[in-house]
Amino acid sequence: MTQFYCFHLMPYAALDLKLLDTYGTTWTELPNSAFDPAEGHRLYNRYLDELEAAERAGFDGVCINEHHQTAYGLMPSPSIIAAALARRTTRAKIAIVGHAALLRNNPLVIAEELAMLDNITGGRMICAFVRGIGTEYFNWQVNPTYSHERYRESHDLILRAMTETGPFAFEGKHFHFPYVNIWPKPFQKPHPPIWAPSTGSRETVEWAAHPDRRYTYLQGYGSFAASERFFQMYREAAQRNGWTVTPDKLGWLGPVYVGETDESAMAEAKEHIEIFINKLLVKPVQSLLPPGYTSIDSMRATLDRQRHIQAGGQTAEKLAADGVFLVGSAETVRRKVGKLVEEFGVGHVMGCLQFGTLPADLTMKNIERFANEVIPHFKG
Amino acid sequence: MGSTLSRLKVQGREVSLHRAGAGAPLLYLHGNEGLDDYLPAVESLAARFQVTAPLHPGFGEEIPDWLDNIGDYALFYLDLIETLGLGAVHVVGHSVGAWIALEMAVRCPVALRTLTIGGAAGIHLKGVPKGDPFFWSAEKVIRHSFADEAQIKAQVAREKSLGPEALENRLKDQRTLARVAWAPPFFNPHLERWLHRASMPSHIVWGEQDGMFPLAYAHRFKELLPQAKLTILLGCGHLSPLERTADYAEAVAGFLGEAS
Repeated sequence: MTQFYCFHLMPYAALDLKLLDTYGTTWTELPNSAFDPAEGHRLYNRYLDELEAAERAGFDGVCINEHHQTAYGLMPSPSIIAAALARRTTRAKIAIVGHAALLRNNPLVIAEELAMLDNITGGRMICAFVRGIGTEYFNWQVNPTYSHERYRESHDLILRAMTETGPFAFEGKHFHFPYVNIWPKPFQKPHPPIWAPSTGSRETVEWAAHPDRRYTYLQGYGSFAASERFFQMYREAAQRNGWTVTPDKLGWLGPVYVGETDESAMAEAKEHIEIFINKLLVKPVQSLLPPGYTSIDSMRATLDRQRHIQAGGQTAEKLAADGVFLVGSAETVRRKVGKLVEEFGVGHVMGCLQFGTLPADLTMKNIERFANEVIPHFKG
Repeated sequence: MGSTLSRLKVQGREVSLHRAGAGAPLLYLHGNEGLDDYLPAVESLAARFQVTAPLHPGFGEEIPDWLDNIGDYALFYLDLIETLGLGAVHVVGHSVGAWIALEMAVRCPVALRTLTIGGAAGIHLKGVPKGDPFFWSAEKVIRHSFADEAQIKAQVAREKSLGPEALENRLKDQRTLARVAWAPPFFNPHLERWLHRASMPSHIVWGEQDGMFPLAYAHRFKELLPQAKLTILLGCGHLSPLERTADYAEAVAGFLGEAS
């Protein structure tokens, strides 16, 4: 049965947007003097309330992720947010989509944190590993030309730490540990589910569809057309590897807003989704794509795809028409989610129900409408 | 501008070389931008020396599987000198090329007859920020690499008119440069303590208005290298071999003439 999750980026929604006229981006270069801890305190607690409310409203899970040195998202350590949720939720899965484990000099810390969280929650954790956004290689001084190598190696280290009996030696190029023997081990056997989030990359698709992994491929922030293309690519890769994709192996993640009517939904969400896409997400190309972060071919494709995104100036209407943003009345959103579930075969739908500057009252209404009027439709 | 490069195998590893001129052997190690931009300076030097100017492996191609850090380049070029049977050579390098030259000099001082570094990477002075060719836009890098406003204009225009092939090469060059210079950014924290080993006659050539490696770095190298002469090119930026080719080549060749 289709699983529904409430995803949160926890943006610094109190940002004085006029600062972006000077700095142009919320990433790396926006001085943190713009961060007000009183607002930070208020926002963290508001956002945690929203995720807890999502569980009560009927979502199957909640989702969080990791970003560094940006007003776009205030979760440099998603494990801390997961820990805060662990004891205030009782049923919902907690999906971290994901940890940028390769940015750490010691990715074992991620295995240890996930194992702790999985024990505390009695096996409600879902994990994922991401390569981090290009800017984060500047923030953490990790060499982007090793991005793929470190991704694969840190993944292997964490997976083996979670599943193999220690102590054992991990002998990698970037990570070499003579004694790997984590305490605790994860609650779930053999390990918490692992997802592979991507904004669309053949490399990720091929890696996730490998028969040893069969990780749920999670397409984030794609148009319907892009999502369909990458889901199909994943199906073909799986078929080539001798296995068949089931709905639990495909996930979709993107902003969603359910209003009373199509018109009121657009009127309420427009300003906030446009701030999210055109202000908070924007970064200079050279910090988006540091050298070696992707292959030259991927880099060219991403440049083409991202040029218009990074130029800003996108409208909510266009995002809605493309299927990047699912917005409208409950009926309209049901139809769009239906396209994901029935046409694309998606088994995990992750709605980003707070985006940009969307205020608390509208976020809460959005969560309730989605839970009451969209989710039940797919629960037979 | 292009050049005819010959391909050579050194201990099973491949490199493209531009070779020109006759006289005492000189190894020229280009900077961040790839070899082509340095060819006018190389040609000037070839009037008096037998110049070997490699295109650093990984520039314009995949990163070689043997390249993890600047020391790999240094040892590779020491192998190259042996393979070519050049004996002790004049080594001249600029920017990242100068950093490679320094790493060669501390590893095998006898292989270098002289050492010439310009706008050199390799060390770090606390509180003296360097340029960041990875984080900065191409235009900002150009503004910090040249002093002359007309040159800046011309370089910015050239950058904007790069065709797809040149752009692809640029991405490849940047990728290989990042492999060796991303972190720590453009320096080896262990190099400075060994620079006393670079005891050959050495020459520091620096643009007075270098915006990538400010002049303070030149003065620090002067303190660290046992036998160093410092030449400051007044009113010149970081890319002296490009910006003031004749002055640069004259300064370099003049010193080599005295030292030989």
